[in-house]
Amino acid sequence: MSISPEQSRYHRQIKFAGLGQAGQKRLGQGKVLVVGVGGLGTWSAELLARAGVAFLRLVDSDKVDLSNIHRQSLFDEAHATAGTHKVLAAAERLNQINGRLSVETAVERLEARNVAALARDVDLILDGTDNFQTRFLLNDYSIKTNLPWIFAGAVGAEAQVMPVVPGQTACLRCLIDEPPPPCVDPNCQVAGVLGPAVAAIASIQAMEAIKILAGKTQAVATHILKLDLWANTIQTVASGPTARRQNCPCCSAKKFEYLDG
Amino acid sequence: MKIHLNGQQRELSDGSAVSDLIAELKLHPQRVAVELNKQLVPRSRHSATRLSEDDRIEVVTLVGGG
Repeated sequence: MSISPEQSRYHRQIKFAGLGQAGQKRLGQGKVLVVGVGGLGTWSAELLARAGVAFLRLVDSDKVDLSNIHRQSLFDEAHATAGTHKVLAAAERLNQINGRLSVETAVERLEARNVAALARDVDLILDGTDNFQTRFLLNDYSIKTNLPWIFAGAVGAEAQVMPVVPGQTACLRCLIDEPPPPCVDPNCQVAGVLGPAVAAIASIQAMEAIKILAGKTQAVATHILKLDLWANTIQTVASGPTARRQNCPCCSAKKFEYLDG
Repeated sequence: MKIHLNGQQRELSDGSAVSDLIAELKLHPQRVAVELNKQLVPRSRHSATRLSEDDRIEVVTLVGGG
């Protein structure tokens, strides 16, 4: 039997028993919305492009700055000098990595008014945002439309990740009632952030994305994972079916305050 | 009483609530996810949820950058 170039390209992934030929085939049809193309979004988009997903829609209104490059893949000094929009710089690089990948870009911020248009036709949303307001909006949209999303965040050397699969796992509002106030403590720009913490959590986010896109839902993490790569601690908090809040305003009562206003 | 906080034993005054523990740890209540004996405890339940001997509690501070 002859091996096609596509098969040989993904040979080492297909050989992984958890994924296999059928998993790779489904992964190869996967369509993903990446909200925020910064530290998290660049790394996770790059890993998914290499893994062979079909389509990525990138959303971010920022331009590349020299201060991004220590923690954001896909960008270089030329992008920073030119002030290239992040989504455009990322799309070009992603297509160099994988010419069969279809990439769409949107130079805007994701908000309640445009989330439905931006998330149309995708199988999964990846959180690469830098604020909880947008995450609560993504959580509302995910639960309302039964579309999985993967919550992630990083600051300093700390980072966390949690897949939200509607109807199966807990959602973000099972975990916290409301968006934490911006910049109260280690969360704003002044707190700083180290590249490996962002890249580590984005890698795990991409792994969970691969499981969801390949239809391997039984392998999807049922906990929130928190890393502190400076203190060398790993914590998990259950987020599986039994951890769901019975009276969660979002996934139980179906009130979508951040989406519907 | 003894509880297990993030996998480590800790002494806590009898009758303490989740909110008392969070205050003792000097954490921001709006920024933490709390799991008590494998169940999530949202912030609206922190002060009403009393801890008991041998409870296993995980307190995780969520970070927001991207």
